[in-house]
Amino acid sequence: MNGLDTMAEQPTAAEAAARLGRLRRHRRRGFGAVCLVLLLAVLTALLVSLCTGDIALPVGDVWDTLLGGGDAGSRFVVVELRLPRALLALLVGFAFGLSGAVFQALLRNPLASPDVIGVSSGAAAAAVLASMVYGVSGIALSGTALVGALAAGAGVYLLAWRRGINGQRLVLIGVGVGTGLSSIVSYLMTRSEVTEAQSAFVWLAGSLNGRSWPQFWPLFGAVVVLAPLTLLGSRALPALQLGDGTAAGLGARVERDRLVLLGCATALAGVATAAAGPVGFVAFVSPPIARRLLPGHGAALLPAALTGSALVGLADLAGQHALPHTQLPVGLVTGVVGAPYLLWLLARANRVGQGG
Amino acid sequence: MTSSHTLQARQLSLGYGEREIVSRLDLALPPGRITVVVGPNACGKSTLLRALARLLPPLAGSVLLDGCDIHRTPTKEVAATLGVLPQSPVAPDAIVVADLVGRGRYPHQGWFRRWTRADDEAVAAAMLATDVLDLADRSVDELSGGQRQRVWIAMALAQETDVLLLDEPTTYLDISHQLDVLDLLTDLNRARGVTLALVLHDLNLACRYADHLIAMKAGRIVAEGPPGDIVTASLVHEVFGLRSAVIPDPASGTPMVVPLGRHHVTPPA
Amino acid sequence: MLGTGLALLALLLVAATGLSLVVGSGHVALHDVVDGVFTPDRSVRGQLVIQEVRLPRTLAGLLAGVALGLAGTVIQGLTRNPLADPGLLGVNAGAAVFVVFAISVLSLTEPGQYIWFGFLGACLATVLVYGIGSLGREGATPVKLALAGAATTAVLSSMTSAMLLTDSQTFDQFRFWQVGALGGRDIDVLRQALPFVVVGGLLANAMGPRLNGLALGDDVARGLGQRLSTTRVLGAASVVLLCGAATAVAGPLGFVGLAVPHAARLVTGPDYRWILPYSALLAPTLLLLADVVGRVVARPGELQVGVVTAALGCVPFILLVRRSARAAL
Repeated sequence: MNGLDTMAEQPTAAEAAARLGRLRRHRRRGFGAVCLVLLLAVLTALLVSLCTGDIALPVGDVWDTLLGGGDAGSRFVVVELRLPRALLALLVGFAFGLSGAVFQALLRNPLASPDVIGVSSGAAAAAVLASMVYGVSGIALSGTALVGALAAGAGVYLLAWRRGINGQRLVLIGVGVGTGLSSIVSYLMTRSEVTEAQSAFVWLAGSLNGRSWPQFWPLFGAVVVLAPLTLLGSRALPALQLGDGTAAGLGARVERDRLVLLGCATALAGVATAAAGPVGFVAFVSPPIARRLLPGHGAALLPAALTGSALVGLADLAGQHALPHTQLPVGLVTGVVGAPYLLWLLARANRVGQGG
Repeated sequence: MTSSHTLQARQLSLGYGEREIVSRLDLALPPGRITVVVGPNACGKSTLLRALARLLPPLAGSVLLDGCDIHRTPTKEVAATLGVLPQSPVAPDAIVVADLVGRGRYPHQGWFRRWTRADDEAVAAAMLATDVLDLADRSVDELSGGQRQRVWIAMALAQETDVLLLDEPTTYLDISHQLDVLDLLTDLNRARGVTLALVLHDLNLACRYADHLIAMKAGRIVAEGPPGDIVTASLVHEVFGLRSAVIPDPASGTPMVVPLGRHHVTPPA
Repeated sequence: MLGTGLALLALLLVAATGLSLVVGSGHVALHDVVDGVFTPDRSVRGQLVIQEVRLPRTLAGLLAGVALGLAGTVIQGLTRNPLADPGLLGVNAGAAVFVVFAISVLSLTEPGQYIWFGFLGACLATVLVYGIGSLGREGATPVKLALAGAATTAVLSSMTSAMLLTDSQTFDQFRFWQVGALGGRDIDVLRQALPFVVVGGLLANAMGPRLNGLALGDDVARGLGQRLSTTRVLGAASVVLLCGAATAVAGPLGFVGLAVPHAARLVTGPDYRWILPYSALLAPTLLLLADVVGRVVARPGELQVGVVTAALGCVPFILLVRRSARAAL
């Protein structure tokens, strides 16, 4: 611009605007393409879940049954047994993935996730306490877990409030509260009968065993409300991610916008934990996977949610059918499946030199 | 097309925690003019700028934008009129230049408003002006300090406000880009009447480009006015503790401060 | 002034040690305590209790505490992340997997037997995490280490859970190891763990200046003449030795390693040459006091130290974080 080196003509404002428009549309196409691929993975997981099992059903029969045809037997297997569980898996993954992406974007720490800031521990402590001391189970147990999650999240937020919220402080206090709550869980595990402790352990590992329509509808209702609310609240993320000073300068209501997002993300993690136990690793691992699939797209909330869906869907499928005569809890398999994938992405990106 | 927006501080006291940095300061930014604030380190100039931008709530006193208390006005409304570029801004990982500059359009976008052509044009104009258009699809982390600084300035420009506050916008820039940025800000002021307030550390560039200069020390305004009127060797000594000779800048006629250190000074004949 | 603080902390540690020896479910006369430690006469019941029960657990608390305090400080300095605890590099998860394997597949039942499997697992896990985190141009940056560590921890935890779900006898043993306790350790175990703690401790303490450099950022550290890869390897090695030994002695006690450096930092400021010794003294003090509380509160049984440190420790930790103006490294 200061003369001696530029040989090319400076583009006009209109040309520049057109170029930026093209760039934006290109990026949007890339975003759409990745989301589409993820959606395809999700649907494939769903379809395979419906077809596989002790009674293998061909795709055609499954399709007929879904549309209302098919005999009573396949209707029972598909609609009563497999469909609710598969849909639940997808919803749980969606909720956790979205929640984790919001936490990591807001707190700007790759280790941040609902587990780390005490939300999962709150759910776990409430659930284990309720089931061991009061013998609560079923829907009531899920409800207790939800209450525990929300209470822990609210508690952490209030404890971290000191003329505003500092991200680092929130995370540290979350770790403190989470640890305290986890110690309660560990203590209860040592003070109970082995069988009780084991069933608590199964719940803690995150499981979709025996889940059906009664667990599905509450989660569905919650996600239908919370997900759009979260995506709406994420309009403030582009500003919030630039730091409190810059965000305020751009006209973001920093505390309010952040509270809304944190509230939604906590509630999403809470309802998902209530439905399936703390499968929190999904919330940790889906956002970095989504960010590496779509580098340069910022927080990538929707891809993270879809990644979570695909992950839990595939994990539950694997957990049910990979080993003969054993049903592995879905939480286990997400760890075994999701973590190596993250490690591979990390290693591959590193070799190419894109950094961490 | 002069900007008619006024930004003033009345009896403003600022501080962090218990420490008071600025006490009972009165200030009125001349509308439609370029104001530059200079002063030694820790004199409160960045603090003052943050308070004017409503980023720092005052301990006492008020900041008035167009006569209204800036803290009682909805923040998005303020952001449509007043833009600020803080010192050392934070960018999230793996963000692309075009995306970052685009975030300057945030105050103009409501809940459901889609990205429009006007937004593209504002971003394009800002990127052209700061010479970062070629970097549009590059990741901000990969840029040099100077390039990154220009991208942040582009973001502030994309906000298209009538008042713009910039805290040390020339810090990482080489001399040619420093002049580019200051010339571009001057264009903005002359063509669109944008009121500008800058904190600069280079005293000579401040004298050259300021319509109104404010010299601060220890949280007080020591002197303010057109540079030609107020910049003298005794002012420089009072504010910076620096011995100097002030001569007319051979290029612009504005005061040029020639620092006199312990070495390389020819004693007068 | 910091030196005086350190001396006071040392006195506090001595007091905690004394308390740990004196307090217990049975009453032991003071002179028996002293004799029991230095010139034990095993026919005297009080001195036997000291020798067999309280001395080992006090020593375990000292060893594990020093190890965890140092390991936690080093890992936070290496990763520049306030969320880092020594288990971040996968140490605890690796230990757990191997311990469960030893109990379930090899049918070992004595802690003295399976804890060394734990140590092996801790080492292997750290090597894996460090290896993956180091791939690529920049080497093991904080973010990559943290992510690799968390991911590896998740995989190993899943494998552990898988083994436990299918074997309830192992689960029964494991749920007690998992909570972290100072009881039931043989003096031999402590004797075996000691050299690891000593070597790891010396290594960690020597890392003070390097960690200070690292805290200023990779570029500044290189500019100050540091070989970053050496720093990271030495740091990881010290963490493995210390944390592996601590896990062998007391089971996985993650929270101590996370919280104590933060507390120390509030007193000492950001200078690692001071944070390290302060952490090394503060952690065992807290651990021993927690153990004493656990023994007193649940007489005649005990509340395991892992539960007490986490449950009680989180309260002052939260208060400290709230009080500090900058909750950052």
